[in-house]
Amino acid sequence: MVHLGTEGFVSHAKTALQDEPLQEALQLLVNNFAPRRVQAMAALGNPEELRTQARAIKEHTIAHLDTYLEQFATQLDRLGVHVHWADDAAEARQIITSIAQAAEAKVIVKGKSMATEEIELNPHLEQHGFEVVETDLGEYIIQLAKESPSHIIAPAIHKTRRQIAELFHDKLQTPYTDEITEMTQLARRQLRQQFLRADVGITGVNFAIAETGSIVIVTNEGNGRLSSTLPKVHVALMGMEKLIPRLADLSVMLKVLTNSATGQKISSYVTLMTGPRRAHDLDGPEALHVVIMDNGRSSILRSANREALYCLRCGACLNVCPIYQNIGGHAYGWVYPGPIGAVLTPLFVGLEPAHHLPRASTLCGACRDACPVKINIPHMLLNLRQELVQQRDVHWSETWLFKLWARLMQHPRCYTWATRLAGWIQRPLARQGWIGKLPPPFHGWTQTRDFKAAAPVSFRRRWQQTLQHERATPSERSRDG
Amino acid sequence: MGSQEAFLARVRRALQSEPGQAPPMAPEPVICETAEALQARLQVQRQQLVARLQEELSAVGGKVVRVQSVAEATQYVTQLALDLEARLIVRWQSDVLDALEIDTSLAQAGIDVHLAAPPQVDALESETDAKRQEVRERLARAEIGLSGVDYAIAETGTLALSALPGQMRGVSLLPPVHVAVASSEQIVATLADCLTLLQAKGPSLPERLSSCVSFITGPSRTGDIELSLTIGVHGPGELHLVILDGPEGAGRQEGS
Repeated sequence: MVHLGTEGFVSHAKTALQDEPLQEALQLLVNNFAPRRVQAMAALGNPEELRTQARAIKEHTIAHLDTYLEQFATQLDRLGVHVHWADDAAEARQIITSIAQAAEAKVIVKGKSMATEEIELNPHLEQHGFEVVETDLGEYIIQLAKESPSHIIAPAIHKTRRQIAELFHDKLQTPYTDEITEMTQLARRQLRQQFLRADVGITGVNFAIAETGSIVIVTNEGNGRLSSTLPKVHVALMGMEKLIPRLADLSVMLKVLTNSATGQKISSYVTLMTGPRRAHDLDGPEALHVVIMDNGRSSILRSANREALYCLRCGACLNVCPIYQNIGGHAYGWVYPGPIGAVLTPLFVGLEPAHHLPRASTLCGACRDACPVKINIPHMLLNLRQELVQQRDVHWSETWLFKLWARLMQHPRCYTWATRLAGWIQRPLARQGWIGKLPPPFHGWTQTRDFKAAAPVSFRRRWQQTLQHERATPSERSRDG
Repeated sequence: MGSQEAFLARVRRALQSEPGQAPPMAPEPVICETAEALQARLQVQRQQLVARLQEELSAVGGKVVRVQSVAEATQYVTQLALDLEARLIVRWQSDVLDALEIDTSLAQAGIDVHLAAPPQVDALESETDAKRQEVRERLARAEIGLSGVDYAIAETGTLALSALPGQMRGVSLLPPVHVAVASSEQIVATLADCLTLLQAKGPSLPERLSSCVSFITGPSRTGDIELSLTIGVHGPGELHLVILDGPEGAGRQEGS
């Protein structure tokens, strides 16, 4: 799992645009994933009400996070769960490694978890001599390919079936097949052996219920269930924002999560675990460890971007984003891609190294409209951009131009004259309504695309002419109306 | 490692809140119905619920059969085992399954049934790695896992299975085919109903909730290769639900 890094965003994006298999794969997302969510949400009958409720639950929980964390920990204690508090990624890695060492583990199976990606757990465990096996099919594919996930819920979306077929043939030494069903069965057989050997299972957590000390894991394949059932030790890693107050809140949260993520009314497997296996249970883990992680979340809690902590990691904002749809997840350079990644990444790794991300957005608002908890992502992107402007030395020309712009906007007459002037200046540059090359300092706009030339007659002018025309012929207007 | 105190203190600083504040009121309660009122409401809707459950579970690839008698249910399961050429079946110990007398019927057909009976002694004390491995291997070898359900949720076609003595998690997880037998009395309308009833079972937490409640909706599936829907990744590739609709189904005890 190698991340490209956020600094090179611009060149990664360019490479991605030229990558034909990637473009082919992303097209599936646009045609398949995005419309499925829209249909599913509409079928719910009251999607707006549900989203409002879900947001209220998260808003409330995060506003009283200290109280709910304490309640959750108390319940975990009563249930005999080992509770661990990790201030940062290094601590979380160390805690999990110690648990695996104490269990004398050789093989560790993992259910799909973005939190473990966030702390780059796998290389760390491998360094300590453990055999770590990703068991979600998508995660397994990218583990074999030594890549990182490119989508929050479909980690191998960037790979075509033929690429995966080659990979399996090469790494598993099996006869080549690009039949999806056969490849899936192949992975099932391979991974089943690992499940039966595993000593420790590591999963993430979709929801943690403060009232009951339960953790909830949602999967479609069953990797979460197997990882938390077969090994004698189960470790669940969760960001501290995963809490919800009561068991009753699960119904609403689950509905918005699965409908937004995959367009399913509910995922195939939702597992509600309350403590480790009990005296008369016949299977299940003997020990359950819950690792509650901060890793920068308390700073987000304090900031103007608190609502980033409401995120359920459903991936809906990725699927609708015109940027993500074109460049895929890897270009973002870190764990969380897409619109929510453009917010989370600077908050986690720092604004300076990730300064491209908040700007890689058209602010069209599709992400906000798709979000199951109505996170105002464009607003947070603007917050981050504002912070960037305040932090960084902006070129004098930019400052000067924006000042001029502000002046013009305040004085309509000057504005009219300026647009007319611009119309004259552009004349030698424009060809059939398009400008192929702008002079500095505007040249950046025409580096990869043509720029629409200003219309010969401005909108304001046409508006005035139309009004005059309509006043002159009132009968015509009434006929149209 | 980070301590709970330091961790919570940092969160409090970020929220600018004081320690030991009274627990805040959560947003308006989602539950506004007692378990009794809920059961009464469901009783009236029973037939619609059965139909809805059948429709929803079928839509996600589950196979639903409605039977009128225990004999019919036994017949269905036996025939399925014969069709699949099953040699080993692992099953829950629960009232509804015991009533089927399925073991006898399957034994006559030459199929071995392993009963996941609660252990005589404390399982955790006595379990060795070898024992654990044996349980795993047997579950993995079985062609069919046969279970009951705690509840079935009509709205989404979901089966809720609690881990309890005699009710192994692995039965609905490792074998390639999972067959669940439910009585129509166990069908609820929504997940919210199911959560209400799960919580109504006992006075305190460990009695209320078992160590694991699995909500299962159709067979195991994935879309991880080219977003193409594929069935049977890690969990069962086939899910059968036998709904016992007759008077015998109605007589089943709750929470067994």
